[in-house]
Amino acid sequence: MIQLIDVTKTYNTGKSEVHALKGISLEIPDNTFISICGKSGSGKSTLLNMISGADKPTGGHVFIDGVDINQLSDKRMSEMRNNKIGFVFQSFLLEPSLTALENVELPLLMRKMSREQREKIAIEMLDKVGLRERLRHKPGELSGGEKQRVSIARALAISPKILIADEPTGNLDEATGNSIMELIREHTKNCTFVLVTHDTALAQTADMKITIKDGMISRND
Amino acid sequence: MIKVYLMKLGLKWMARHKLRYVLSWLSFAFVSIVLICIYSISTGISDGVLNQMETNPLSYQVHMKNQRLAEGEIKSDLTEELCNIISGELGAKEFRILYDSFLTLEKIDGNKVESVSAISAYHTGHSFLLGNEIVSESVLYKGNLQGGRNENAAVVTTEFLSAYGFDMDSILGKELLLKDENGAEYSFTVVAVLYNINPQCWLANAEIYVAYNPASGNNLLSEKIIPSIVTFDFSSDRDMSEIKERVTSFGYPYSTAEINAEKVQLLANKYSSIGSFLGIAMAIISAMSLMNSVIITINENAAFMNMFRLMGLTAANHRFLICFITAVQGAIGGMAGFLFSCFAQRQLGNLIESFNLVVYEEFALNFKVDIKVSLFVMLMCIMVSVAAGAVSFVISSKESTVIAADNELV
Ligand SMILES: Nc1ncnc2c1ncn2[C@@H]1O[C@H](COP(=O)(O)OP(=O)(O)OP(=O)(O)O)[C@@H](O)[C@H]1O
Ligand SMILES: [Mg+2]
Repeated sequence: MIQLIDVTKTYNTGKSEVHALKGISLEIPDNTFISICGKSGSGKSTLLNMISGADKPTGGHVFIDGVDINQLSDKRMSEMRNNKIGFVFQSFLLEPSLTALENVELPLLMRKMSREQREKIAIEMLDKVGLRERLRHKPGELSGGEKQRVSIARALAISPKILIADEPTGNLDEATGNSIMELIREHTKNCTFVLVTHDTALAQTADMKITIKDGMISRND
Repeated sequence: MIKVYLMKLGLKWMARHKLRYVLSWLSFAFVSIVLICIYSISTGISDGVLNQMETNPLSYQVHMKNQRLAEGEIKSDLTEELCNIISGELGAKEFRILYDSFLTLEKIDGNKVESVSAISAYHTGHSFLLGNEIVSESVLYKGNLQGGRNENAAVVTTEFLSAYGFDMDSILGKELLLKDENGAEYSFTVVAVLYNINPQCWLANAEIYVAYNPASGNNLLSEKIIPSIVTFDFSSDRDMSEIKERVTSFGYPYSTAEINAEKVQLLANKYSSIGSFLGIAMAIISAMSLMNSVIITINENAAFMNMFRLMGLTAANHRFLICFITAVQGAIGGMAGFLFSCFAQRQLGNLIESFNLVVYEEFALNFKVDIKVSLFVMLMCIMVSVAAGAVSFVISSKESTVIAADNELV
């Protein structure tokens, strides 16, 4: 379970303070699909960063499975992310010098896993996202939709308990976006899926729907 | 395992941006060439001195001067009898006494010498030596001192030259005619000119000490001949430092070859500290140029690295990657410097020679790249570049947080 208690985040840019989150409390039960909507600049990405521990909140607490993640050391936090959380972003964030297969292997590297095991899992994942034939291709040789499939395979390779996706279809055309969404949904049946999206129709299909406005939850159902 | 992987990744990044790093390679190569030269010279000098100390019989000699300070005045009261006693107490193998005697310079190349200033002369191990004061700290010479002892050869000092209006080239080969107090004549040919040289061994192996003072005229000639320098020889298994301690108690000033070694060592240390200073200054500049390149690399790959961090890479491993990249740059530069130094050993030797550093000639000019020194220098380059990497990491991690989605990558 993910639990946020009165989380605030203030960015201090030197000249001015930006209150990106103004007190968010939220409980996300296990295996929930939660969608987060809101205007640009409302604080959606910031909220995701709080949930994943990518950034520390200015105030409040974030618990994952009962552990206050901001009390963890860098090492434990890294371990926790590696074990539990998968990420998919609007930009695919693949390393251009590595093949699709090697990119998917990356999170597995952090676990003391043998090369064969890593490859086996990575191939299985790429197979699931329909890239069985593209294992040795580098990101530059793949289309946008294919790149996003690689990054999904990478996120799923660790069998995450939580999948965090920040506008995963934002850079893709509608048809490709839809198939990518389908793909993600198909593989997140047994995990918590946190999705930031502008697509209200898509957001409606979630178990939990949140709308953020000016750093606060304006609707929660 | 993750570290091995990060190293591979680092190498890939470097290969992609090799041009960016050329400047840091060059500057680290330059740093290491300079340091290898300076340290090789100074270790060469130190090793040479130590080697000489061990193999040279001069290292097992003590030269005692007949000039004791007693009751506020200088006394020359060292007698042959006293020398015998001292030799017995020190356990010397043998000792040789050098007596002052007086010669006057009559002619140079057959021409009568008109004005005569004070002259001292020494018979040296090689030849005859003339000068107007005790031989200064010098070993540099022009002419020929090779081939061992030559009864009729004279070596003159630059003071002699100026007294008689010669220069280094014109004096060589000239005939000197000298007379002793009994009117006997001695003729010598000038074979070499000493300039700015040393050590006591020249004086120690001399056979006659000649002093002519025109102001006191013939009076000097009638003075009693007294011992001026006594050389005690010891067997090579003796502990010279212990002997030195005991010599001190006799109250006569003395010198040993070791004292020279210490001086040379001091000189070598001076060179290496100048080198260290230069090296550190240059290394800092190289490190800054490297930091520049590395920060660009970090920023360029920030989005991916942030993603990597989200996937569970620890900050420590992230820093390891950056420091590995910089360490490799330092190593490449250090290696290039080492290879160049080996390759251009001769030319570098000539270059160093042309600086005309006042070091004992034989050590300074035998410049050879020292492997141990080179390894040390390379290690230093790597350490400096690792530090540059750590600083770059801190600077760049201040700039961007772990938020991945900001940067477009692929
Ligand atoms: N690192 C930062 N420093 C300063 N201000 C920031 C930083 N990151 C975000 N902000 C500000 O915080 C607010 C919320 O940003 P956030 O990225 O969470 O918005 P968002 O809802 O994800 O918008 P979008 O839909 O455009 O992605 C914005 O006003 C933004 O300018
Ligand atoms: Mg956003």
